[in-house]
Amino acid sequence: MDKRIFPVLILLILSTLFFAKLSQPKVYLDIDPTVGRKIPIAIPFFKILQGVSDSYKYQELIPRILSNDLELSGYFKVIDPLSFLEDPRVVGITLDRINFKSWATVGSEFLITGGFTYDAKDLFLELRLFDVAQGKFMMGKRYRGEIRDMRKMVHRFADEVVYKITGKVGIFCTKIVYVGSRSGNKEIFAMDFDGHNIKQLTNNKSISLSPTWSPDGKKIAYTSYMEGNPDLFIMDLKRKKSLKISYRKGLNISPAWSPDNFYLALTLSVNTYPEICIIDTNGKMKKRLTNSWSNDVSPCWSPCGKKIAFVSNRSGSPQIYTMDADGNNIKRITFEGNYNASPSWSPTGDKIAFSSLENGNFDIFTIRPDGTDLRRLTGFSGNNESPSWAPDGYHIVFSSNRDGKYHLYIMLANGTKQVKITKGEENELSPAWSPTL
Amino acid sequence: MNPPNIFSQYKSPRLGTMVGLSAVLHFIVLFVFTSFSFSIPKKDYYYRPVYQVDLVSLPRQKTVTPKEKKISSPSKKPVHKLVPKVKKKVSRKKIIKPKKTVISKEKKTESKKPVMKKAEEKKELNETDYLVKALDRIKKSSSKKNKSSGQKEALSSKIQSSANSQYQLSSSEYANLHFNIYYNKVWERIRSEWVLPGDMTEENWEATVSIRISKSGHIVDSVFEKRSGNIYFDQSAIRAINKADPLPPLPLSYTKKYLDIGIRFHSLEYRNG
Repeated sequence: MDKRIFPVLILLILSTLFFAKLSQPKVYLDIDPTVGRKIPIAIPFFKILQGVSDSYKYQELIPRILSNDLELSGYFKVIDPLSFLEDPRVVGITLDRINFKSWATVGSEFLITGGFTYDAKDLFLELRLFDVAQGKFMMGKRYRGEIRDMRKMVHRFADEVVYKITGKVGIFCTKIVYVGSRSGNKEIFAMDFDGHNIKQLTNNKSISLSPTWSPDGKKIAYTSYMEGNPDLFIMDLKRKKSLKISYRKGLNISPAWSPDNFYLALTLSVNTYPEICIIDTNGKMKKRLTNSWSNDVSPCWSPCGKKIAFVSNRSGSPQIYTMDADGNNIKRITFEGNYNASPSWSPTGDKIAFSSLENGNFDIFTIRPDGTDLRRLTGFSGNNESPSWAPDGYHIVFSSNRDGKYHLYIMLANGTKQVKITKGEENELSPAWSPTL
Repeated sequence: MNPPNIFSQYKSPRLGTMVGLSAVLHFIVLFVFTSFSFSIPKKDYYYRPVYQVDLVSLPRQKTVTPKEKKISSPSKKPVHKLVPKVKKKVSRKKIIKPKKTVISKEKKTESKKPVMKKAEEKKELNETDYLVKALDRIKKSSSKKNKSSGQKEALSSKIQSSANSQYQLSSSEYANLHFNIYYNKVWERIRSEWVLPGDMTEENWEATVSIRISKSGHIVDSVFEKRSGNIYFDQSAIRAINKADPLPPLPLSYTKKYLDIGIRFHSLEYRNG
């Protein structure tokens, strides 16, 4: 054989070996998430950029409001400030001043630094969000306002943080209305989602019940006995004025606003039995939906407006039913328990929360609109009633007497992280969470 | 008169050219093939999920002499049953998903062994150290084996002899052991750093990040092989990898400068098969 062949052959063999080596299989590791882990975030004290003598209390207060918001969101775990290795008040709050390694050491994935100027009247806030893991600046915001708007500014920034990190809409600027007892009467109150900033909306010196939000967040419908009969009122929140809308003889109760903002489903006493009807916002009857010799109450709309869930005792005990928005296709969805009431359809449309009497106590459950996947959210803690969904479909507010009197609590849609948000001395009942405001 | 040998005239140069041409063609084909296979590496090189972490346990017992049986009988217990040989894999997919429970099982079986009870120092060694030692022992194997004489022998050398005589692992198998331990560590490290951004249980997002690990364990490069389509999910994966840096140093047996591995993040619990 020709000698010239050998180098060529050797080259061939070597190249084959070379490529064979290169094309070794690559290994892939499959990683699934650890359930229930929250995003660790560090929020150190804020820096006083300029301020009068009593500014120092805000350097601790503002981060505390922000921490509370992010904890309540259910997405974050705020790291204990005692573990911090660095103080941005000393080092600085801007990107070039931050030593990300020391924040990574304490386990945080994100860092919020803040500075403020306070001149005894106005507050100027400067907030920054950093990605500690990647060592980069993510977002910065400046807010200016009166000191009484401090919470609002912080809530707004918290909304931005949640959106930036999770892509979810925050609930920190939302409100909750509820029925509060005061001097023997029941009046309607409103507050921020975290239980602060409580305002009394009605002063009818009577019994006011079941407040509900209009989808645009500008009005509230409720029932009041101020003129003897349970009539339906709509309150304009801006002008703080109530208008009597439906005052038919008998019941005008449990209103629910349609998602398109034009109609109200409510319970009216037609021919002795309470039936579900639809009226427009001027009180004009549009359609009667149910027609049975039983009590049909507490309607609530699906987010698309095509379905309505309600409570009926047509089978002997109060149970949750669904029907089309024109009253057809009535279907029972709850079969467990002898007393199921106050349904609330989640904004995502896939769940209905309700309260159910079991072993002498009411507890909150969720179920799919087709009647499957029944899940318990509360238990072993007094009565838990009147669930209402937050606009993010991830939080629920409810009323519970686990501490004696009825107070308002919020929890995640899976029943975890139940937190009491009101501290009043009287009962607080039938909360309704606002849409995104 | 002999006919003129026409082949002798043209044979050598033609054959040489042909072989040369063939070599060039082979080269081109190989090059095209390998570079093409690089562009779609994922599909070709997944392996079926294997609980390979069990390979850390003592070597398999193949033949047992009566004398050694006493020492090694507890090792008959189920540890090895979970250990599939690399060759046994049916498909070409390889997904390493170690389980924590496996390690605890192994500890249990170890504690049953009388030998290990006495030799407490051995317990404290981590898996890598143990393997490095085991490798050394194998190198020394035959001579020591002959010398070993019954009861008065040191306990540790009993293990040596039993290990040596029971099963001789090839160097590639040992390299595999090292890597399985290493992958296990990387898996645990990245998983412990990964936090889902919020509630993502509605849909199964999946992202694959390819990382390049230097000898010291630093992640020198990371790129997305496949994005999930959800930027918040992708960002969380990148954060987890950044937080996990540096990873443990590469096994000593690994000779190349870098090791490339892929990390697949699943938003829902990953189930085999």
